Amino acid sequence: MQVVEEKELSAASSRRKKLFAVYVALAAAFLAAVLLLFFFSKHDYAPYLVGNVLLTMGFGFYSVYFFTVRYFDLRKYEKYLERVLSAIPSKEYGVYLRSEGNVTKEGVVFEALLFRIRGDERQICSFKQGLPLSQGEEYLLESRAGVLVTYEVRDGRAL
Amino acid sequence: MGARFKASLREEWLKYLIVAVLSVALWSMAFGLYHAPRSDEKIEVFFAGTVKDRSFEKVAAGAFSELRKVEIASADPSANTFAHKYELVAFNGSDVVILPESVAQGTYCKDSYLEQEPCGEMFYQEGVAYGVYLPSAAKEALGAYFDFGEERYVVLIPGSSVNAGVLTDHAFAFEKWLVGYVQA
Repeated sequence: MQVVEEKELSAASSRRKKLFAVYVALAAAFLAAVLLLFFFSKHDYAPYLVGNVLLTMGFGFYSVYFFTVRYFDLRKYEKYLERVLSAIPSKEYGVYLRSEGNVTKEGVVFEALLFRIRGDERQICSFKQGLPLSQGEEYLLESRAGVLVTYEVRDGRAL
Repeated sequence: MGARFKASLREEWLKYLIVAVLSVALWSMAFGLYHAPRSDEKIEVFFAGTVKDRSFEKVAAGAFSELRKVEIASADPSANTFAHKYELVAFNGSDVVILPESVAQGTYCKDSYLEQEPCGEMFYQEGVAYGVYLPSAAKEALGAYFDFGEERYVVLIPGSSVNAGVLTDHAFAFEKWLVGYVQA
């Protein structure tokens, strides 16, 4: 089963670009609104001032959230994905032991999966969470840069 | 988004705080500058004495529909810094100047104040009328706002005023209003 695909990289990139385009459109709408309020304000400008302050705070807060969380996370994911896809693949058999929950590497959240590979326990990370892996089942694992790319069941024997 | 936004608020609180503070400060400044009264919408009064009650600024601005603001600058004639402030403020940017008679007499009015058409009891220097004496009724009524001394007071209009014939005639109207002021 394919966990990471080449096309995911271009999908992530287009998702990021789309998100940025939405942000730019919002910024333009925000700018138009505040300029309109500013230049059409009357001498008794208190309501216009309050309106502009609220709009600016709203857009400013969204910008901080956007660049520190949403856009930033997507950019980090894209970079990590790029690194994974360009790494040398390694194929080996491993017995699935358990999930060790989420781990964060360089700002990207993975599910840490524990396998027994050639007698040693080894953690392999997965971008996708909740993969349908069965405990004790042996899989042929293909990983790149420590990230699971594909897996398939070797046989049904429990160890 | 709610949980992630709350987490972001905790982690990046300084950035959110800076955004909030800048929003308020920059817009307040921008609106203040944009709507600041133009020179022809305000009258600047220089009073040689102490101002008791600044509510006069609102009272005076309310008396003229064309004015948005009246500002009073003052300096105590007995203070060491008076001469400096008098020259700096009264002759540069003030529209109406209220002086004790002794200060007016000590000023070479020809260089600083406008010659005026006689209207009421005028203050003369070298035979030229440069100001109007504040009548005792007006002085008494204005005493609620200004700390007048025993002396007589003169209302003059500096030559540098843009509201004395350059942009408007508001300074003359204001002088007339002051001289006729009887309502405390």
